[in-house]
Amino acid sequence: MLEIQAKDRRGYYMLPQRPLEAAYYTYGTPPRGAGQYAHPKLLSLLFMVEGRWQGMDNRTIGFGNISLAEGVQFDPHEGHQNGLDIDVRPLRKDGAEASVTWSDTQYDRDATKKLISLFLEYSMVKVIFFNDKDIPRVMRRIHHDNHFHVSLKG
Amino acid sequence: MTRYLPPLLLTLAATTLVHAVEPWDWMPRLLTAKYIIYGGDLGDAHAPGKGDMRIAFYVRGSAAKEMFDAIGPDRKSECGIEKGGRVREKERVACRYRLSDGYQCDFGFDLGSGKSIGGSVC
Repeated sequence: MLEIQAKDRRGYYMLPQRPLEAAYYTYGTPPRGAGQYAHPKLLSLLFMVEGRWQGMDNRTIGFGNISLAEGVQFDPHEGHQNGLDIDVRPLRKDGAEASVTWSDTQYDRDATKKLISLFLEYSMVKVIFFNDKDIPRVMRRIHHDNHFHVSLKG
Repeated sequence: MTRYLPPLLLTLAATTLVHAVEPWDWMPRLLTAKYIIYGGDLGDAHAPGKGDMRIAFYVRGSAAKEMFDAIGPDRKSECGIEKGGRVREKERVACRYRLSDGYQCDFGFDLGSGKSIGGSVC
């Protein structure tokens, strides 16, 4: 049966969950994409980044919280209401689709740096928060040790 | 105009006096709040486990409004709160006002160490 992609009343689509051949996987709370309604601009960026990543690395990228349907308040987030914010997991050396902190031995700094550079190539990216001080052009902020937060310009 | 001044001053003085002598009692009040116990970190949380247990509290209503008023002034939201939203923070205590949702304050602790770790993330 053909699965119809969930769409909220803003007209924002849920990030497709585990599409075949994609270079990304999804995670987050609430599960099953309920916190992954994205502005079309963000969806385009994610598809561009994952498409390019596929040609660079065999590991998948973890895409996390974006926004709830209708852009209602999203605890524990201050933002994540306009569909233009996304949390992304750093890369792990073992390629597991799991959380990793930048101070863990499994953390792959080089690959994460490459992935962040890909995001930063697009002028629509306003800021990235991440606490690994060896990654350039990111801002440090509390609770950004096991994911980086990408915010797009409105 | 001057004939209205004495009664006005009198009213002001009386109001000030009433507020000045308003008694304060140690009378804890009930609050509206939610909490969650989790493992990992706020930005990528999972089920709590041994040695990996944190708690976050989300306070709403009059307690949140009183906290918000007390920890001013507003600061610029770096996380893109909704239009018209206001943010106030002191160390690991954060309060926000949203037109769509009213006042909410959050704070949290690492239950292993007791350290204050906040209850919200960008």
